[in-house]
Amino acid sequence: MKRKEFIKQLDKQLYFLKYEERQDILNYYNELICDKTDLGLKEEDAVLSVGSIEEIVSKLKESNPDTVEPKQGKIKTSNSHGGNILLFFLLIPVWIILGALSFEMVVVVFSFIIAGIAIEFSAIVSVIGLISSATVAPLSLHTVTIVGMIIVLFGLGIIFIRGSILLFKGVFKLIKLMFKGLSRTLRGAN
Amino acid sequence: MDAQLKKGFIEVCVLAALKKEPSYGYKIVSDVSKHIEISESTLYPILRRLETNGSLETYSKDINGRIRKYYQLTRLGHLRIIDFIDEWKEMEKVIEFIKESGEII
Repeated sequence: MKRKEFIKQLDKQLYFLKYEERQDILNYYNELICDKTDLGLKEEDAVLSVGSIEEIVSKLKESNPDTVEPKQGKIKTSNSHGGNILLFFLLIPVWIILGALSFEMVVVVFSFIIAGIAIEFSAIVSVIGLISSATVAPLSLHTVTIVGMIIVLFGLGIIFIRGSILLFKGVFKLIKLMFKGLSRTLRGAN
Repeated sequence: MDAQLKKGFIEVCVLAALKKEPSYGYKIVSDVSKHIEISESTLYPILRRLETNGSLETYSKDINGRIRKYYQLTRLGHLRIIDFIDEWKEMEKVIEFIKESGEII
């Protein structure tokens, strides 16, 4: 194997390390191979002499037990869930209540959005009505009042929609926190 | 040799290889392997550990158009060598005792 190919493959196998540490290791082996070829060793032989990628990776893991592979971490988590099946079933009423509560909150927020859209729609209808009436009757003081009301309607609609979007974000975070907390309790009891 | 014991020895050997002057990966492996078995893949974690605990410092230098990383002993690194030698003197006494008790049996 050539040096560049070796470094590329090693880089792939070091996915569990941070970028800086990975680069440091790649530089170390790159430098070693270059030093050996400078001394007259063939590139392929120099690559072979620094050891196999498997050996390098296992030595790194051995010396760095804190390094947790993302994949392994996930497997561990799912294993711990396996041991809690009973607790999971016991907590079913809590899951249902949480689910219903979340659904209710989403419905309330959604109704606010609908109300906002309805207000905007009524404002648009008022504008259309005003324009069509203006073609029949001349503009009067009433018209100014109606224009004012339309502006207020538009404003209200925007406040409703923006407000409910913000509320939705908050509710979403709250629901996430509730479920996270519950699953953490489930895992913590293991 | 016991793996744990060997690990400790290699660490001090790496420090000792840097006692006279700063050195780089290939040269450290060559110097240390004259006295104790060491591979390139064993050296890297040791260098990293010694750097993290403050026994070594590193700097890079341009050599023939490419960058080479040099390792240099710090004051703490020097102290660690001295400590090891002191500890070893005590160890020799223990070994002497073990040998003597062996002779009695």
